[in-house]
Amino acid sequence: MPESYGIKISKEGHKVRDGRYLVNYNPYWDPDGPDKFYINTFGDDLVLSSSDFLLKVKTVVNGYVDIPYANPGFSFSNTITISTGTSGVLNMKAFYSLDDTNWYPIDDRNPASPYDQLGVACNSLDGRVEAWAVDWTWGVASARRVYIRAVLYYDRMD
Amino acid sequence: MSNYGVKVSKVGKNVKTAANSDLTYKSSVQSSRIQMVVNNQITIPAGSSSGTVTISHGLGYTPVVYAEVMKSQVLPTPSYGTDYIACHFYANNSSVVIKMRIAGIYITYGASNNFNVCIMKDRLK
Repeated sequence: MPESYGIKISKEGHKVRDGRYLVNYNPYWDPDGPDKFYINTFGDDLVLSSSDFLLKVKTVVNGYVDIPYANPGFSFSNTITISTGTSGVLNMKAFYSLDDTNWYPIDDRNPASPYDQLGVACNSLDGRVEAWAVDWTWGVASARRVYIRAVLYYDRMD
Repeated sequence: MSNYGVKVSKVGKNVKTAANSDLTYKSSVQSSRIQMVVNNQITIPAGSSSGTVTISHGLGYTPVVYAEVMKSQVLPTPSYGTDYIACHFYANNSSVVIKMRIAGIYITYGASNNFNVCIMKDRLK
């Protein structure tokens, strides 16, 4: 939907008006449509356009999942729940660490860990974040603590 | 508490009463911003089994990072496979580190992989 109001800020050296371009509408596609419409032809030249929805950082939550022990040939898992302090399913970007220093991403595409056979997952749920870790490394007999950090955005996923 | 600033609501929402999730912009809330984008390649020469690329981000804290490593050929269970390329990355308070490991036939010929890294200003830690 074209808007005739809002705020735009362009990158240095770019004209702010060029960030949104007025073009002629093709009535062949939609006979009931407007004669003209706006298209974001140069959206990448804008640092801010109020018609775009910006990700806004709400908070960072953190916790850890303890995997108590592991015996050769068995897997052990544990789950923790971290409250987000608000209702709703929030957009989230989650990471994990074994040393609280180097942080690896947790995503759906590659939950497998570079650490042997450690698996970590994190889900954004209504009012909370649930993190889960499993260790099925062959021959590892010591406990592991998996640190979890997630940046939560105001943007709702539900 | 400040009583000034800029707020822009979604179409159809009252800017004075809209929740933050219904605002496209609010000047008192940190919007997600990009620190740097890096497009590069990680290369492992023939005879080696691992390679590392370190990107200094200069933020002084651990940021949120999005990264895509192209041409990954990771077997479902890489620890049991013989031929694989495995890529991962991590971030800390000084840099983003891209690592690649190869095994089997890839060591014979070496391997290279493109990656795209987007380092945000958002603080993770």
